[in-house]
Amino acid sequence: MKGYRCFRRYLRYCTAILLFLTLVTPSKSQNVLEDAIEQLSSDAVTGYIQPMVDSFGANINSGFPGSARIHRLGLTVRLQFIGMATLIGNAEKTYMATAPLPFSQQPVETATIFGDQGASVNHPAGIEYQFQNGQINTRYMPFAVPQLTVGDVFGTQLSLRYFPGSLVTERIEDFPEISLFGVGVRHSLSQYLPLFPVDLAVGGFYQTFSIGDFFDSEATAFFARVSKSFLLVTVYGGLQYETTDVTLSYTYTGPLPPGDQSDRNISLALQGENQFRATAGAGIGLGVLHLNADISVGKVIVASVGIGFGI
Amino acid sequence: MKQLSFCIVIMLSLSLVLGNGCDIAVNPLLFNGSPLTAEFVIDEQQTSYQGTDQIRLGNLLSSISETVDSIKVFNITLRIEPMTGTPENLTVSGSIDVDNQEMVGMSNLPISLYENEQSIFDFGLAQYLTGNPALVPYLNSLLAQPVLQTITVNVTGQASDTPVRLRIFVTLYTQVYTS
Repeated sequence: MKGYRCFRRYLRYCTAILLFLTLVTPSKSQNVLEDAIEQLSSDAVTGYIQPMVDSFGANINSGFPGSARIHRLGLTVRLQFIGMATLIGNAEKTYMATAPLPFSQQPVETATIFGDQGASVNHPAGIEYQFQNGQINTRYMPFAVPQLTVGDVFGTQLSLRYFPGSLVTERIEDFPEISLFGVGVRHSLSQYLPLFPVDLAVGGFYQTFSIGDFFDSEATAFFARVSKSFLLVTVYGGLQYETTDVTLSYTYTGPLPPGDQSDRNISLALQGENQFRATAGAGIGLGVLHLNADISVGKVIVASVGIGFGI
Repeated sequence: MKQLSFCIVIMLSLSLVLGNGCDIAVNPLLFNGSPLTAEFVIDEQQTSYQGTDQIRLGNLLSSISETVDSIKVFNITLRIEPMTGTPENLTVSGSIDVDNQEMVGMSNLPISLYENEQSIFDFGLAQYLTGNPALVPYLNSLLAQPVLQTITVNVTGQASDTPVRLRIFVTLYTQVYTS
């Protein structure tokens, strides 16, 4: 019993560290994101933050169990730690924005959150307005989740993703609470197709993820997988349809158009633009240790790696 | 216990690999300074009016905790709100000054044009109102000082009719460049 409690404590620490390091390192990053967005009206924030929403959506909809091999009746208990990264290209670094009045209402190209310096516009009266600077310089956007998969019952596996938000906030003062919950099922089609040369499975995953009162999201994915095992190695691939809905809630601190008495408390709904993807990857099983890596191509490119322990 | 330590090493390695090359806060954040408003309540039975208010420039930093590099004015707006009894077609002439420097001159300005907040740099209304561009460098120089001072805003002029019952708001908008 003592060993079990010790193991659980270690896992919780590891999960916290993993999420903390990959998503929100350093702790200042959350403040930077919120501070950057609070300067933007709801029109401007969409373009500024959209590439991040896209990369977040692509990340969270990645890393589902790769192999389509699910027994009709068997025992699978596997805890995985999955790291994902979405590539950030030049297209994700700029967007077209319009300065507030009295500046010209001609849109100008300026930096997204992944961009460099914000553009400046001048007015004949000698005033100048600068758009928000980019805040994240990266070639890829990382994310990480823990995932527990159990089965197999009637050729079906259940996967859970969970992170208790209070774990981080208890230890780091003023840190927003992070909360992750996800549940998914996969069902073997191969069981209905005797002697079929490859394994086939279909599945779905639903997840929620939030950061404080600022960021709320829901992600849904439906996928079909095909895989083939060769001794220790399994190669797999598949197609996936996915949606990501993000709600940003913040208080706008910038100027409003003349006469606009709008509420400054903004609740902005954004959708990830990645909807379809094709995935290819491979995994290796070494006793209780399972390693896998895959790459997905859709509107954005996502790579994921997983380290799993279990049977 | 050895297996657990091994797991932790792998997970931390994964985290560090993912986090590597992702630099956050690479450029200074830009903040909107808190808007600074001078408010004048005019309640006159005669056509001439006058009002004075002060603006503490330091208040624009009230919600900013970052280290400030520089501050610039990017807009100045005017709003004239008629109170009960003010003639609907009232026009006003005169000026609004900052520290005795003219900020804006008004010439037979129908108050209805400024019932909603408008920039004084809106050239579409130049026949009634002219913002003084020289004031922008003056305000920016004040905002460049280590200790932000208090400025005095005066409004004086003549109305076309009586009574003159108005609330006048002059608002200064700034961008704060952090380091």
